[in-house]
Amino acid sequence: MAFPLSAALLDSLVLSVVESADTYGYELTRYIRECTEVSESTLYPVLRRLMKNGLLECYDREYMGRNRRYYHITSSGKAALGGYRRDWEEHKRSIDKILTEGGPGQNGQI
Amino acid sequence: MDRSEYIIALRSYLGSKGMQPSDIEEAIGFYGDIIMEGSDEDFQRLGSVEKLGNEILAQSGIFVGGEGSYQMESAFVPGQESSTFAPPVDDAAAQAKRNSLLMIILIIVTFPIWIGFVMGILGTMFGICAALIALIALFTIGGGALAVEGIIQMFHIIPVGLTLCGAGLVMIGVCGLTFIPLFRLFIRFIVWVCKTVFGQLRRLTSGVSA
Repeated sequence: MAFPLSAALLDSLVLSVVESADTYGYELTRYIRECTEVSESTLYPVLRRLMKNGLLECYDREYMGRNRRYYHITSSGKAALGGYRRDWEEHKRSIDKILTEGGPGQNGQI
Repeated sequence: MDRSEYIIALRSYLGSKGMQPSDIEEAIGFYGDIIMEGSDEDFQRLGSVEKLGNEILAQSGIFVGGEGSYQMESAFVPGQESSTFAPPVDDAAAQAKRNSLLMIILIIVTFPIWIGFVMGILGTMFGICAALIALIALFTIGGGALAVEGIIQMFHIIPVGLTLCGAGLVMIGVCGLTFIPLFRLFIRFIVWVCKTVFGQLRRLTSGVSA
């Protein structure tokens, strides 16, 4: 069963990948597809949004006679990623509380 | 079409739809690697040039037919209180509704500006219509009268009668071959304009009431 990815989660995944190393579109897509089913047409607007909001910047590097566009995380992007990670931990704890620990029937109390 | 030709065709398609050169370069910068280096499966998944081009255009806010609008969501802002990973709220519909309402308000507010222009166009169309009707009437009735007079004159002076008859028939022929088709074409044009304008207005109002 697939759990839908929100825009925030996609943003955080992209920022996290780019934080570890500058990367280009195809490599980024391949890496994220290793953990979740996502298409290029889903990631492209994510990258545009992150660049529009100053969390990512891009530069071109020549590769085999054409320009390859690399994405680089900015300091604002790093700060945002830190926020995303904190939020994720909190969200994961809340979901796990019910998903793994069960509902009120487990201990008779709500 | 090979992959290099695909990129050239995609660049050309995006340009033909009015996309800014910087946005085209951004899109080609992202999709170029997938197109050139991707596996056959990855490349096939992109679809045709038109399909991918339309997706890119929609993501840039340029629509090639269809409804709806792609809205870029705001990224996370550090320190902002929000439930970042809560289930996504579908506010695209609300945004579309706000856009429709703003468009209606804009139309009402700018009414003094565009009403003169619209009345001028309507007046011109009416004038053209009236002129065509007058020409059709003139040539049909005039030609008919000439032809009848010509038949009558053939009992008195045959050459005169033949000439008048011929002239009358020529007038009727010219009317049938030019003015009437022109009039029908003009009516179809007016119907198309009305359908387009009322269709857009209906879209706007249904966007607000949805």
